[in-house]
Amino acid sequence: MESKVKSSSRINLPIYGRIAFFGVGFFLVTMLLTAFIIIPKINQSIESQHTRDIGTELTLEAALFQRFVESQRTILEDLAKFPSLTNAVMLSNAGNRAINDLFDNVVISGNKGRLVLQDIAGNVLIQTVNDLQGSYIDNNHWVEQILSGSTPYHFQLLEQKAERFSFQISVPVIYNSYIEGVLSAEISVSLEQVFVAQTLDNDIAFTLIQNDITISTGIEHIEIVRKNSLQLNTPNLLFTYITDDAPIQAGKRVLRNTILSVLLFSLAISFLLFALLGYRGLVSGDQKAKINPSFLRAYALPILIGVIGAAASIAAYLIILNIQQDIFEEKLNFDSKQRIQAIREKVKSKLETLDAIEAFYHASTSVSRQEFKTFTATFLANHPSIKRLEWVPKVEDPQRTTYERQARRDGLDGFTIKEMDLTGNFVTAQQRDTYFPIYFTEPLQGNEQAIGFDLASNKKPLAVLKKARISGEKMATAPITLIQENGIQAESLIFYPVYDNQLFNDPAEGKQLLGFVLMVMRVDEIINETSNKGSTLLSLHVQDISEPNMVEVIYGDKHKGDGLSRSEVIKVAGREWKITTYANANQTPLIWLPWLILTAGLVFSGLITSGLIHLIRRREVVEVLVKQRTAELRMLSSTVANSNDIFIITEASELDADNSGPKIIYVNEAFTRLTGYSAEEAVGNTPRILQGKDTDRLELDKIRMALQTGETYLGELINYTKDGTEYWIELNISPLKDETGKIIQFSAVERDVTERKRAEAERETLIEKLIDSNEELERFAFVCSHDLQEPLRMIRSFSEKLQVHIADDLKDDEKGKRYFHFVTDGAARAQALIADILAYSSIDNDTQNLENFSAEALLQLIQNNQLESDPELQGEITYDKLPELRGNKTQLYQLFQNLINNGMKYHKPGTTPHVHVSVKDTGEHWQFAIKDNGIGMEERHLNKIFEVFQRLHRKSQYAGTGIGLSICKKVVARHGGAIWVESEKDVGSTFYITLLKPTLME
Amino acid sequence: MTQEARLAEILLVEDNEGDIELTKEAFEEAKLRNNLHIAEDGDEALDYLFKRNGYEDAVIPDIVLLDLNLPGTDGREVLEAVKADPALKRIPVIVLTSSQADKDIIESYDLHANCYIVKPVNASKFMQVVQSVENFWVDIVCLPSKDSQT
Repeated sequence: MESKVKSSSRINLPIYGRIAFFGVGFFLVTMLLTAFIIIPKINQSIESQHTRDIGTELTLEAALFQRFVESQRTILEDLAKFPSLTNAVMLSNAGNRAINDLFDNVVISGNKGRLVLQDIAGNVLIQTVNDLQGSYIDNNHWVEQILSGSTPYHFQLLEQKAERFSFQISVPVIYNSYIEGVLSAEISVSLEQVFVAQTLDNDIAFTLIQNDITISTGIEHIEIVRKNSLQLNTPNLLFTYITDDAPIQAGKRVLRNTILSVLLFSLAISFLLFALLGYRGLVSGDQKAKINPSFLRAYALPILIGVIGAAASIAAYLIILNIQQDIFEEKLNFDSKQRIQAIREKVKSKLETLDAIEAFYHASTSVSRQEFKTFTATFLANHPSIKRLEWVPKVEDPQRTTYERQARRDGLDGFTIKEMDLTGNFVTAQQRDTYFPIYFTEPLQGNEQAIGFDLASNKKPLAVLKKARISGEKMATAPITLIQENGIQAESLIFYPVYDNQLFNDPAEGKQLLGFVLMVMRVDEIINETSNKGSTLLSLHVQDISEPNMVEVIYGDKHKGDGLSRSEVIKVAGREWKITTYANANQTPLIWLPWLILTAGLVFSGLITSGLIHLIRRREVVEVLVKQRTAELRMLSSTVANSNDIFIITEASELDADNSGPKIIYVNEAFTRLTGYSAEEAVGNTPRILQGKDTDRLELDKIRMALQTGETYLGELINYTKDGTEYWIELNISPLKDETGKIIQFSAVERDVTERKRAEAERETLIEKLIDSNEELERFAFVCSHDLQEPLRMIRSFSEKLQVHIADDLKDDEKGKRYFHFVTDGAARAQALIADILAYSSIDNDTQNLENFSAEALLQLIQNNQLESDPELQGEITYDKLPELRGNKTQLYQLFQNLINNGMKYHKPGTTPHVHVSVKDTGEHWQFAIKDNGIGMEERHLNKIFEVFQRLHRKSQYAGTGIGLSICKKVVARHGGAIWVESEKDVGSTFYITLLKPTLME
Repeated sequence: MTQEARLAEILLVEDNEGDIELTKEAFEEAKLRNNLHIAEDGDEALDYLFKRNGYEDAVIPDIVLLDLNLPGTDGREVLEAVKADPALKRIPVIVLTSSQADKDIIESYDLHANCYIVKPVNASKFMQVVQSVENFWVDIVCLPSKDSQT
């Protein structure tokens, strides 16, 4: 049951694996799709939707504008149909009371109508206000067009004043289908009256451009300008709808970051999940699920984790890069706003200088040159960027000489009101109605040239002077730029009209202009004064965009490249400066952080992946090892369990505690088979249950000693089975040690050797019996042979006697003689055989008669006896130096004599026999060699010659019984040696004998 | 036809002079027509049979009477050599020995001896046995013709 439950939980793992595969595949595909398709697609669709919206807005707003203009035109056309008005035109008479009443009561767009009525000659008959902005005389082209009927109406934008929007609209006055005059109105409305109010928030602006007039709404609020323009025909102007792209870009970024964050989060979660899963799968060590997996399957998980980790790292890298970019942009924007605000304030503070000077003029009836100098000195000292402060009085021609004289009195020798001729030299100004000479200049030093210069003589300053005079506001000239080594230097001249004290609050009445205060300031210095505001991240680029067709750079370099930039337009004394900020080239977001995260992420994933791979590898190795070990253990344990030998394992701890003996913790089946004790009975008991009365106590003590010293014991012992049967065991006890070398267990291998013991006992009895019977046999042979000699002697004696007795009868009987020969010969041979048998059997094992003697002496004896013996055996005997011997002298004498006699006997006919005895030391033995020059033997007969009664030759050739070498063999054996022969037929034989050295001879 | 015209050729391999004498006399007494050749040891017998060492002109015997205990090359070796030779193996070999040992009898038959006879102890019996051997092997048994023995 248990294993079933386990295996079912194992089956789940591959499903996890498959889910993992799908999950990761899904995430990867989603990642790629998102990164390369979805995000660009969403951006694109947002962009196109935005563009569509802007287009719709543009046309909507343009239509609203057109409708507004149209409605104003209709009002004016209706007005032009009034009879009093047509009468006045026809008569070219403005004195009509009715027409004055009419005009006084006209209200257009909530204001009293600023109307102009002209007759067919273009002469202005009536104008309801004095300060008209439009131009009605001076041969205006549009008047002719209306009067000729070539255009139904005339629309002209007027200079913008604050957040109001002004235009002039003119329609023909028609009587009986004839155009008799022109009616114009100057209409000034707030922007809300024209455009939809809610669109005029900070994100939207408009510009209307007609000829050189530009009207714009709060473009300075817009961070990223996006212009969409529409050229309108009626009225004829360029309608531009400006939106701020910043929110939409920010929105896109937020969307992108959100998507990427979600992806990153998912990836991180799945990464952790798979890492966890992989780790758990590996650590839980599920062998079954991992049996022989293919490489890909085995390493899929770590590879997967590596890929996910890498993907997550890349995603994190991208997101952090984005976030950093955003933060950087935000910081840039913040800095930019701060900086621009600072510039705005700085400019304002400079311009306030003019207010102070203007107030100074108001406060006093006249300001002397010295007073001006004293007054302006502080400002010049406090504001280094203000280069000059000047007083430009309005000088009517009659006062010219008075002013010139006064100046000369002030110390300006040769002061005249000057102008510049065509060659660029100052000359005395020509006479004109009004002069605007630079009268006071502070500081004077370095500016002496300019003093007395009539600004009215030059068109450009004159235009600005006019503007300032009309508006009563500070008005700046187009900046004068000088390109220097260290950048652009731009000077701006700002005029501020000073009116007569009583009338200054109503400049529109334009009564008494006293002159202008003029300030010359250095744009670049002003901007540099703000450089401590905001960080050093930014570079600035400032353009004067007041005249769209003549944009002038007044500060800094243009932003190159496509990095982040932000623009704002500020208004400076009637001019517009577009300030663009952009990041310095060396200022970039913290580039190392995303890279650090990418690197760290990749390293981390790499580590986890390689760690997992390492784990898998190690587990594979361990698995193989475990398999091997398990197989080995199984083999060993089955060997042990099924062995016919007994295995007993005991504890080592309680060896000498209470004399109870070691406890058995394991026995195999062979134990039960032999002893009769079951494993249950044996385990926990001591091996002493097997011992009994005949168990050798000394042997047990030896075992105890061995166990205590941790040595291996090997011995034999009597044990008893459960039912008391005695058996012998061969016992091998060895200690089992743990890693530290401490003995923890003893293993005993016991073999039942009862059978062997019995066999040994039997063999010993048998050997004893054999020895007895051998001795008996030898005794018998001896007795037998001895007793046989008696009858043989009878046969021989009496056959000889009989031969003598019947000698006469046999005289001619050859056959009879031969028969007698056979009888006597047979008897003689029998006697010889018996003698040999006696000799053979008398070689006993007697160790009593051992004595030491010299082999040389022995040989000497043989040599001496040789001379007295059989003449057939005569020959030469030689020997080397020979050692001492110990043994039975008689037997050894016989040994050497037999061998030497053999050498003599089997000599080649006609040669003198020669026998040589030599000796060699082989360690334990002396090895003698008895070499002859006899007939030799064939190889195949050599093994026969030492056997009893074996002969190689016929009796007729060489006599003998065939027992001599058998006796030699027996003697050698009795002396612990061996005998063999080497021989070559017809050359000779060498007999070798080995004899134990005296020291080893018992 | 030819068989009757010629004498039976018998090779006796025997080292005992007495036995040789007795065998000779037994053949003489039986008055059988035969040529008795005698080899006194194993080497001589082999020389005779293989026609070498002076026996190049020897007549191939019709039967061989072989003693087992011979000096040097003994009867067993002779028997083995004869029965291993393709030409000689057809010659009937009658082992005639004084040994009664079972070992010898079995060994001889294993070496393809045609017959094993223990020498009787007394002379008349010995002669009787020799005569009956000759009677049986020479007169009764059909032997392959000499022509077929190449």
